[in-house]
Amino acid sequence: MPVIEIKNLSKHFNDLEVLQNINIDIEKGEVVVIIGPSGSGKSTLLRCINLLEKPSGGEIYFEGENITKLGKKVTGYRKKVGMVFQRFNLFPLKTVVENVMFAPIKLNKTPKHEAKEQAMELLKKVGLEAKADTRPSALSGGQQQRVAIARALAMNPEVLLFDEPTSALDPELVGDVLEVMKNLAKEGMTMIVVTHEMGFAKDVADRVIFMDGGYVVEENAPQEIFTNPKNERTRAFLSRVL
Amino acid sequence: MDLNFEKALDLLGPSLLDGIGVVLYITLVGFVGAMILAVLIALGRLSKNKVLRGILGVVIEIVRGTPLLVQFFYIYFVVPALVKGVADMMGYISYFSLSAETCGIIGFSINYGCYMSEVVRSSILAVDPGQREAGLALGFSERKVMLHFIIPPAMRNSVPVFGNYLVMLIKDTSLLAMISVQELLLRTKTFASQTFLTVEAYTILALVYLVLSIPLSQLSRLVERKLNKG
Repeated sequence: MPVIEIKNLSKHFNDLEVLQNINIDIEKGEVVVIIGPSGSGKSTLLRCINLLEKPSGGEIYFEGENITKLGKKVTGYRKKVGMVFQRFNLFPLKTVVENVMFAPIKLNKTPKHEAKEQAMELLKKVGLEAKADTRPSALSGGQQQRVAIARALAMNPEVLLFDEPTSALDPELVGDVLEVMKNLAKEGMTMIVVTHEMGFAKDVADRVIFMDGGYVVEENAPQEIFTNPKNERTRAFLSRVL
Repeated sequence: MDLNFEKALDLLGPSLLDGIGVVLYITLVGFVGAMILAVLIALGRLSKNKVLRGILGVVIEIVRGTPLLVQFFYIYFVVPALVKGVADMMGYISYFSLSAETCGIIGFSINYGCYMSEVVRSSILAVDPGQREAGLALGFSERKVMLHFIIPPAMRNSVPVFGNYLVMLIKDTSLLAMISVQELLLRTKTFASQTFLTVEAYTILALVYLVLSIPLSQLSRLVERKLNKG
């Protein structure tokens, strides 16, 4: 059974149709990369998956449960689906390690020392254990994003969503973040990644989804989609970005 | 003109020291009350409940559209009379009364709470929406997001303005002389009318207010600079 099943999902803001008739299954351990031009609905799709946006129609199932009908229980679902944002969104008044350990302490009642130990391990994993006691504002964008990944991992999510995680970064900082993401993929983390990093899509993705105008235009294995795109629009898009 | 500051200071000084205690007590409790009320009003004004928003909007208009001094009179004279009237009507005997100090604290809490709620409200709206989304994505409820990730940075951004209000409040305690609180102005006035050391008494009074308010504004500027440094 897929971890996430998206069925006939649609989303509109007033008259603007942002997502139409989206059907996607995500298998456990799969790395799915979503590409497409700006305004194609990629980020909205990601935000619908953890219900930061309320879908207008269709259903999303997580481990067989329809999460669009959860109501107040949505918080329990969101704990299992981590999200990494384009703008990092770290908590500025907390130190790096506090950013990582806060949610487990408050939401899972993890004892403080245990949460801290776990947070330090995660920071080590993203190469930032030396920065544990600094404030996010003292870090570079790439470092902040790696902290944000550690923060999302601290809740032990089943799935991680990445919303253009490297788009706000200076080019020379992108590599470190992608490296962390590659390692996660290797460990078998289920990941849905919206990105413009075609290199990452080629190397790491199990499947690439191309979106345009609110529709899934094409989905295929990366080698297929990059070397032999079936759809005209996919071809046009890739010829511009590759 | 024959001035005798030494005598005035000798006689008025101890009384003013007691008065400073009263002023600081009312300022502190009133300001804490105002801060709490400010956050509650701000949250109410940002809630989805239209009725609540409407009521709070009207309350704020009333409070901001009437003088603080009139509000003190209202709390001191009218509220107890109203309570007594209602109690009489229901056949109870009311011993309800409010001390002048309590009226001052209530008045400051409400008046400054309303003004400061606008500060808190705009600070809350100014917090990056990404903070809310990050909190929600981790699994926090809207309420907990507000508590943990929105209110703390909003309060922090409000501190400089709060500092100004605190300095204003300590000076506004002089209004309480009109409802017989034994604060600095009333003590000075009594003293001046008994001794005719008018110039000396009011000059000393003004200096005392300066001594109270200047360190406070310095302190709030220091806090502001500390916060800006992160």
